[in-house]
Amino acid sequence: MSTPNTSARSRLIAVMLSLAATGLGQIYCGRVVRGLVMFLGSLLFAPAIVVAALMPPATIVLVGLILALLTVLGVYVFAVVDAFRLARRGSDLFQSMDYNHPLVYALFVLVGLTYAGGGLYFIRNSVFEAFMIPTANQAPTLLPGDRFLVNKTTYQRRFVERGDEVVFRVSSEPGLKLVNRVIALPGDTVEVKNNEVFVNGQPLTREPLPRASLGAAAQEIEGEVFEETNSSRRYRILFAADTKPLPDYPQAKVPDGACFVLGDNRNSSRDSRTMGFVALGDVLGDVQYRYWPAATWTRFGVLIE
Amino acid sequence: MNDELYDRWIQRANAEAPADFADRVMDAVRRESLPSSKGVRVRLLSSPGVRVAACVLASLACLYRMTAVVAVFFSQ
Repeated sequence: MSTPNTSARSRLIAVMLSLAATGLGQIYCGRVVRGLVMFLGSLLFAPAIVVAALMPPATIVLVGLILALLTVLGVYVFAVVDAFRLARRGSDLFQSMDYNHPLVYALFVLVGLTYAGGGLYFIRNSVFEAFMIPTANQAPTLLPGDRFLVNKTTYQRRFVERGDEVVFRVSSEPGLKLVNRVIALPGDTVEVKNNEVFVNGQPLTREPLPRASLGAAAQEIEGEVFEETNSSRRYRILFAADTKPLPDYPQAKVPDGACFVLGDNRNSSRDSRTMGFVALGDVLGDVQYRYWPAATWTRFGVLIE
Repeated sequence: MNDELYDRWIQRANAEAPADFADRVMDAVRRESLPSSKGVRVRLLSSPGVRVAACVLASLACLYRMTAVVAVFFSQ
């Protein structure tokens, strides 16, 4: 159905509609297929983030996600410019179609805005959430000022494992979230004696690492760095210079539904030694990507363990 | 009977259009008053204040949608 005898397309309206909902300016100018493709393309950011969360962690995945999001932003900008050009090129007479109706435009805008808000809420609550660490609690893995992404889908797909770097809520202090490494799981016995960690009676093996292994981040870290092995996971820990060991933690069994966590910066960390076990229900997800590293961009990408 | 119809049609088809025929049609189209609802919209959008407000709202909507795309990287 069409209604002839309609005035030419206004460039201002085309641009405004395209700003309000990507592709709507094209639909206003009669390019319904192009407009729908752009509109649907603008909604792809949420699926892209979900796919990235479900893929095995790798720096290339983070780079791909950033490129995908930049592409979506590019589509936003291109749609506005394209709508302006289409309206300018249009003839004096435009054959208005049934979809050229304010209610249809309002529906597109409503869907676009609702999707943006709902998608953002869903992603931050269930897929990825970004954090910035203000302390050296997790040095050398995370340095003060590091911004990182926590994957919240990980523990919907598998159980927490020893060696996981996790973010969790501190139940005694509402609003506070900490990042630590999981050392022992429910049913394990754990003990910390003279800074040596025992899980199920066995000491976690630890090898000294040369400072050169820290790369460009070495100048940010002072102290001895070791590589600790827990189950099959290997990660770096730090005994910072000018610090004293925290008090020993007596042998204890990790209760059901909880885990024992330690900071990688062993002498300067707020962890299970001082605040007890962490409920598994308080674990938000595992730290996967450093997307804005402090000190040097060579630390960008997946957490090296 | 059909021959007669065909002859009439071919005469009309072969008739020369006046030189300013297209211009007169376009003028008539432009003179055609818009339906009342469209007239209201056109009058509204011809107001500078409404235009500015609409532009601001559209820009805010765009900013909001663009923010939602990159907000996954906004850290706590």
